[in-house]
Amino acid sequence: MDVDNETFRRMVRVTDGTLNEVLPRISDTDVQISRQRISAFLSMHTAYELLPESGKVVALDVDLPVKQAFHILHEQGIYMAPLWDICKGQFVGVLSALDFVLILRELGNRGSNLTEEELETHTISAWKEGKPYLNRQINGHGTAFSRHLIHAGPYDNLKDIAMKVLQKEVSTIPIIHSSSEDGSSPQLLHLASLSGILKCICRYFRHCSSSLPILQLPICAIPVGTWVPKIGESNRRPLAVLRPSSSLASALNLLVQAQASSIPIVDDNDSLLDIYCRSDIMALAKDRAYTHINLDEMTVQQALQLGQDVCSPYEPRSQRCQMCLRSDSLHKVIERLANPGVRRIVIVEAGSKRLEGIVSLSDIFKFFLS
Amino acid sequence: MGNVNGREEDFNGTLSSASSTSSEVSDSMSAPDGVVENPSPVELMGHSPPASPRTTQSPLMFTPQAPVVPLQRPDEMQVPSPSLMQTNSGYEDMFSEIGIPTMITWSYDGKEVAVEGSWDNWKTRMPLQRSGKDFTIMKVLPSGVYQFRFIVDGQWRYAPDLPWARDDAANTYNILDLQDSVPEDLGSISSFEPPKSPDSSYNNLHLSSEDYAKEPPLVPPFMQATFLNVPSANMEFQPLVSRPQHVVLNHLYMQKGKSSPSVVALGSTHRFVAKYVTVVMYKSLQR
Repeated sequence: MDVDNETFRRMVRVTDGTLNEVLPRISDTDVQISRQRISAFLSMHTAYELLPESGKVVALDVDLPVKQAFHILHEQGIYMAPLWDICKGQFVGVLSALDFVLILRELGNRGSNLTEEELETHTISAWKEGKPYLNRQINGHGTAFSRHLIHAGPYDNLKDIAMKVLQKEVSTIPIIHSSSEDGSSPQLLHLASLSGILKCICRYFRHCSSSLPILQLPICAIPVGTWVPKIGESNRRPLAVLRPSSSLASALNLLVQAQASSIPIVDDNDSLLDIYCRSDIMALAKDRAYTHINLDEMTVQQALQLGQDVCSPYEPRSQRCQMCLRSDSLHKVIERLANPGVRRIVIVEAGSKRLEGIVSLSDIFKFFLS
Repeated sequence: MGNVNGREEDFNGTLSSASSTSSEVSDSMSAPDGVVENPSPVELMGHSPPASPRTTQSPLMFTPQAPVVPLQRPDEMQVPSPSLMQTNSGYEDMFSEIGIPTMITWSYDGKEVAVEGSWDNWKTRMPLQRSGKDFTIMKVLPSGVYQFRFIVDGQWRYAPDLPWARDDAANTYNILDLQDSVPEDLGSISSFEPPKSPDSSYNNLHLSSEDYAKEPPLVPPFMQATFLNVPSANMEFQPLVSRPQHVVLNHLYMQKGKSSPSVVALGSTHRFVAKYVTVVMYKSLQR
């Protein structure tokens, strides 16, 4: 790889003459060209292309008790579903793993005696109505609870959808088609996520990667993701981590406060052991574990064990914790992220598996589309 | 009721050439999900109506082996076990390397025609076979988007009848977008009109006790062949679920909740343009 002299000298100066690594400089024109091409590609293709030839979507009635919903999603092996309001004849929202995290936290706060009662009768709509109060507690500033479902149509272009996902800070957008003008009789088609869009991008550019020059750069040279700050970099946001012995309550708190979708679990040497994702909350529905556990006493390790015992061929262990090295190319990282079910890649050091950073789908898209 | 599911696995299996399903699969399949079963215990014969011939302007000369992953028991699932520092994800290998045969044709004049493309980074040049006025070559490639060019009598050319584009250096090339499966020919499905009811004597007499003594008519066996029992595609670990048979479209399937009597599952498969969507809605019966 060509290294221009200026970069070489700069590196030497910074590292006191010992050259640990030579970072290829990321040229602005390369970034510009790549961004332009990706943007052009996304603008030309529509959400219809995200639909699989034969797909399946699960939706829930908004009057279902939350507990039923929890079990249904667990049985179906999914962790989010759009909500249908029969009276309005519309899709009104989405129930996701974050909702369950918040519910369990709430119940954990109030004591477990109320658990069964609450979940038995509490409907999804009642929960959603009570949510703005919670939101204010979390955000501090009361972000207006949007009562409108964030959705897209099948002929909206991929760029708009990706921007929507990033701006509204959601992970999935239902694709809904209504054949009539006033939006009545909506037809649910698909749940679109950045993963599907990235898959389209990968498929298109896989065999002409020369048109996206930044793909060849190593991931550490590109300003994406959250990285463990090195010694001396004090102005960086620290990367939230958990220990295997951390309580489930602390894990849930971190998920909510850091507004992250997953937290890596490391041992005392900062080596990566596993990762706890928001969607792992669904494992607590197994055998109604959530009714008889204490969030403060259960460790994340035990919580993940619960999920593992569920014989799920549809999420092999390997998919859970995708790793790569800092020297791996951007192309490799996005090919991995394009796999369905993978939402983030953890960057580790070779050999010791020391945690170095996390790159998620939204990080990549923010970089591509900014 | 369990054997209903077993038969369904057979049906899905017959759509692909390889199928290692067994009736034991039904036990592991029906347990985890909110299964929507047909209440009538009909025995599925295990054969399907012949797939409609793909009379489309597709580049495929013959129907390729549709790569449907046979439904397997969970512990038989052959996921390549990866090392932690694997260089490629096993999942990707399983599906994207399946080659799809496709034909590239040059139908303009020339003595010697060859083609080179981005499938191997423009390294090799393959000559095309002449058949009459056309030059053709058959390539087997994984699904994806490729760029290619023809070399006709030593000159780079592109075929204007195929999709093409121009790059920044004003080089023109053709584009091949190879899909996993042949898309439906919309003309043949959207213009489908159901045949009229045959002329006969229809009356509306009330049913008598004799009629009630008889068994109800059997549900047609093809109604069993729904995708409602397949685990949800949200995680999309089975992306190659094959196209549903047209007979199951626009029918409403219903299952009373197993765990609670106040929940009912409604399922239905619809066509949207050339794609099929199965929606399962869980509805509360409480008022």
